[in-house]
Amino acid sequence: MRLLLLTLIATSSLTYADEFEDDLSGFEEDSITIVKIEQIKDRTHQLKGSLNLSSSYNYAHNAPTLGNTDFRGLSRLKTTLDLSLDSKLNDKWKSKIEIQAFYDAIYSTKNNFYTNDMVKTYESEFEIQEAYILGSISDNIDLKIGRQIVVWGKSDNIRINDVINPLDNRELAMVDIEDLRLPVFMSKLDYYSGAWNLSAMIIHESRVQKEAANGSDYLPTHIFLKPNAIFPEDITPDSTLNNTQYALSLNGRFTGWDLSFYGAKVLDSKWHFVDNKKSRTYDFVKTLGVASNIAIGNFLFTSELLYMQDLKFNTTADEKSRLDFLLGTEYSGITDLTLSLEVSQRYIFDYEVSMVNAPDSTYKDERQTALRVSYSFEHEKGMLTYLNTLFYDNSNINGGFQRVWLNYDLNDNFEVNIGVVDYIGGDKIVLDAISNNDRFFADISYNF
Amino acid sequence: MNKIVLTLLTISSLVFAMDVNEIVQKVDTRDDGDNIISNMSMVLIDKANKQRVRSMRTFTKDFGVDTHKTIFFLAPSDVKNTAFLTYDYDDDNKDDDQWLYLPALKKTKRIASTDKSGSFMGSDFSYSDMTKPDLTDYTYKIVKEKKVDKHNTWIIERLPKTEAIVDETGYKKSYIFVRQDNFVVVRAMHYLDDGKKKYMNVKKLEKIEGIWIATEIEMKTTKNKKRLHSTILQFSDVKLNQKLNKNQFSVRQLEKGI
Repeated sequence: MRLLLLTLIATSSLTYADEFEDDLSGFEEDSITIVKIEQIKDRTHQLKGSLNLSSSYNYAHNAPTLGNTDFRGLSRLKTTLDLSLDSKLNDKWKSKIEIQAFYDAIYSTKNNFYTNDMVKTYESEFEIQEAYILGSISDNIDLKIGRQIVVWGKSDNIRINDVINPLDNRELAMVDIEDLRLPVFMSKLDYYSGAWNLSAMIIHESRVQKEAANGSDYLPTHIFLKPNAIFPEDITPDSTLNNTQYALSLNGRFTGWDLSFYGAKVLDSKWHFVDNKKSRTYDFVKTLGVASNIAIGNFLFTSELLYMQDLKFNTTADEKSRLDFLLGTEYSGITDLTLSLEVSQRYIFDYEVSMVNAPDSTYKDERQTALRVSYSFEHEKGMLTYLNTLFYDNSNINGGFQRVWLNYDLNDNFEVNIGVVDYIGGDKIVLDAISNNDRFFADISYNF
Repeated sequence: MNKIVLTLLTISSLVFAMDVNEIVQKVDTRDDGDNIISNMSMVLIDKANKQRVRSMRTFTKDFGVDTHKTIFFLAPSDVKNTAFLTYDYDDDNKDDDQWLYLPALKKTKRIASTDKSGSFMGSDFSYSDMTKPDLTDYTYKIVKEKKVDKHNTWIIERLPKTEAIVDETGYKKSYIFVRQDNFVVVRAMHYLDDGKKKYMNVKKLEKIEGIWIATEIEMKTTKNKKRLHSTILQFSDVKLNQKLNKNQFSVRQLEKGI
């Protein structure tokens, strides 16, 4: 018996030792020769860019009536070139200039009844994006002058305090997030002291949103215009001294949490009719806001509050004030997975029932939810993302969209992106009218 | 001759006499440099040997017992100017502060994650591999001695004391190879819950300004003896004792870039 026990112990420790030695052999196997790594050198000028080919296919539209635009099938064959030049002027100053140009061949290859406005808006474009100089004028003060983007707020999916830059709203849910905000020309001064940063902006350029083309599948104006009525031209306020916009923020970053206060007088993101409905324009709004986030374990909690006044509407002559509130959370405790949920509530003071009508389509109390799930795989070669955003009025769904897409790096230079977007109809007439815009999309990019 | 033998015997008995806790203490307190600037290349190699390269510049500074680190991505083009800032607190009860600047969004985002088992920027290294472990979280045992690249090492078994540490790091057991002449961990073998094993191998160790620095490290993930993926980190232009101030480890610097 004792002998058996001894043999068993000996065998078991031998097996353990064998297994351990076997595991150790893993160090010796599979020697790999790595590619020659090019050392990145400090250069005065660095050029980078991308060439992107994108397409989309609409699958939910009905056949058009005779003489109208057929929105079915292939709806985009777009080539976009981005070029960006970063320059180091000296130890303290640097500059950047970025240009973007695109051409969508669908408007010349597909035999269709595209309106002039659609062709003008979607067929081609050349633009200077960000163009600025940035530097330090003392140890604590930075100055940035030029066309730039300033992102306010802590939330990722729903914009509450993010009021500085107008948006590219030409194709809801289809514009890449990096192209969503339109840079504006401003002078920005930042003062840093300990954990705090005070940022003052004087915005010289009156730039407004890029809206969907009149009569396009993203702006079916017939829903609020009388038959044969002309959609009034939009007039961007001149970039004069009188139209200068101002913004101020105070940002603190602390152990485990961040806090920001915001105040601004900026152009409204929405237009209103003027000149007896013969034209449309944008006026100034005043905003006051606060945002914070707190990291607790694998959770990031976000909250934002915004008070906005001097909002103009089309369905009432009175200016209104609005209060926006957001709560959100992001969870990153599951390997390779990130979950985020944001809920916002918008409340209009002195609401009038007429405001529910198009083109305002505004509710007294409107809630928005955004759910995002991102999963990265193959060592971040690929990222699969699902985004769902919905608008509610009480318990009624006013509309929204859901989108799922896969981004995959073929190698260090090429990436592909494929997905589908589903527009959800509801009580809000402007959202319900685009609920048939569902489409597949695919694009390939070469980054250099 | 007798003197040499005696000296050798003395050294040898001293080495053997070292308690495992003394060894890991020496590993932990070994001078690994401060105020460091270096270029880091990360080569990600899949099982078909297809390789992707990411180039970064890193800045590291100790603030007392805490370490602040900034990483700026230089290449490839689609991640250029992305920057990562971390305040690694020594205090276990305090979560690290982490911010990520995303140039495409023009936004600095706070990252909340106490789960350090996740991949460090898509590599085979986890966030826990990139930070010093807390000695009190583990029990240690010398298993054997072995020569690695002609140098004597102790192979030390490292077992997490709690399930929480296993969850946090992803490792249920590790063997670390400590070089006997300089207390550098030159190899490690980690056992994961899903049957995978990870092999860390210091392929190049250099003495820079009197400090031992690993300038090429491989981490290989395997399952059933098959390599699934591996990552090679190469450090170049390593400069120690640089004039780094607090401002260089701030969101301001992340957004301004290098």
